[in-house]
Amino acid sequence: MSLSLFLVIFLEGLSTSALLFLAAVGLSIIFGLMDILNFSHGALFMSGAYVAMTLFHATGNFPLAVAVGGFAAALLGLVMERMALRPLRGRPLYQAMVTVGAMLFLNQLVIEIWGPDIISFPTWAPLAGMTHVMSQPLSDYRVFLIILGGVVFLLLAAFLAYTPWGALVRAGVENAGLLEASGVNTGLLFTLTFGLGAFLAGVGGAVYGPFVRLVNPDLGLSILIDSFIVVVVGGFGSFGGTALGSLIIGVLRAFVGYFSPGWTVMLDVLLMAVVLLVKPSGLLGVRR
Amino acid sequence: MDTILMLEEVEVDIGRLNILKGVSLAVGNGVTALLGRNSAGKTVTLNTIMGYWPARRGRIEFLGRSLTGLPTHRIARQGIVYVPPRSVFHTLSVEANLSLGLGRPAYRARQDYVFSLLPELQGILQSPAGHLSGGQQQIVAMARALFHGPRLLLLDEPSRGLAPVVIKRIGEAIRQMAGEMPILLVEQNFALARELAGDFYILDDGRTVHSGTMADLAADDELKRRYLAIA
Repeated sequence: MSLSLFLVIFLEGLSTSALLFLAAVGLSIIFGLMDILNFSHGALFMSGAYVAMTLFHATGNFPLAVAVGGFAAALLGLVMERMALRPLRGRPLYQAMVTVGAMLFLNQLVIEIWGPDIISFPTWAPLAGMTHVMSQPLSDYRVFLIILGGVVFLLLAAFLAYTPWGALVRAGVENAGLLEASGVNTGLLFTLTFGLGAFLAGVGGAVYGPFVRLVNPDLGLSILIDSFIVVVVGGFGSFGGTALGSLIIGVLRAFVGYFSPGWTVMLDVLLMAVVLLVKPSGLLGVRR
Repeated sequence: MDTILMLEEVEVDIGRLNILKGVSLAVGNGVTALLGRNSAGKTVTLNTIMGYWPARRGRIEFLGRSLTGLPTHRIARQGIVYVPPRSVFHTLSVEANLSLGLGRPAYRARQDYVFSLLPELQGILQSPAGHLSGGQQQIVAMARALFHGPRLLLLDEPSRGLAPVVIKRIGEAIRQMAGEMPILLVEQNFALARELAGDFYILDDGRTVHSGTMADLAADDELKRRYLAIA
């Protein structure tokens, strides 16, 4: 394999990593902070994709479509957290079941509104071109995804490291009860963090659409499974672990997919199994 | 004695188990020790005061007002601060631990006061709390409480797992703090409890079974043998 081909496959993998990161980071932080396994996370991702697709068809303005897709998912997440999850606080199993219900509800809602068929989501013209890396072709959209993923990663890292809200999130992931005992209203913290996670999922869905050039109602479930794999490999509740897990799986998929496409899913599951055997808390996860 | 915190016949169930079966105590100024064997219900009593567990029966009053049914953060905001053993947030720096949940102005305003009481903090402010020794973590945990200007401190086993020389320093710090605020102290180290506390309560199997002054308890070998397994 030539160096240029290697580099391009790596970059293609990195663009997948960026999407996986956007999808999984909310799932991971929400679990770390609130102990909620959010099965509706993929459905929130999908909602963002559908809203963005609709808006893009109507206006042709992709940045606007992405932003509104993110906010739509955030709104759904906030409503779900306040109305259905908060009353069940301290009962993680019930909360997980509520999120399963929310997933089914949102899936059906998407079908009711947009129908069961595939709908095209074309790439915004300014990002539809091709670029060349050492004479190998790479789509501009993948470059855009890599940049977006990197920027979101840096913003979140800075947010967690340097802002008071970020410190509260980190402290809450470690020990929410102790945080309560310091006079912090973790209910508000939980709601806002859930909203942030949903927002990121919505943005992820919005930029995923043009990546595969379509949206369909199965999108939510497949991305949910991908996100679970990333978070299990990286470590539930670990921000750095989610980034690392996305990186490994995205790049691994690109290389394996190049040589034998049929093996990618198998390899994901194999990787997950090995991590669970060797370090059950995930690569960067802390045993809880 | 002015009663600051009062528990009367408090009962708590955890799952299907009846853990507290009748805890009564009153905390006034100075240090009040809450003693008893392992699993007598001491920590659960502190957790119940903080609202982690709902009391099924009985009354809990702080400065004459009922705490029953309030969420934990509201209880904390009334000025009750709970310090589990070495309770720090490991991934945060010491300074981030201390300023958590406080505004910058509130942090600045109390800085001098806390550092004068616990001067060893000054050299470790930027260290991640997870890298500190057990004694340092206990100091940080108590300092975090002081930044919240507590009107009552609940200290859970401040000596747990610490070397004797470190326990001595922690004891000194608690004595100084006790001059400023009432403390309810759960402690397995009887020597430390005797040194610090004025009054005591003994729990056994979820019930208050004895109370009195520490001096009386120190002289009562029978009581110590029966409920504390020491002579």
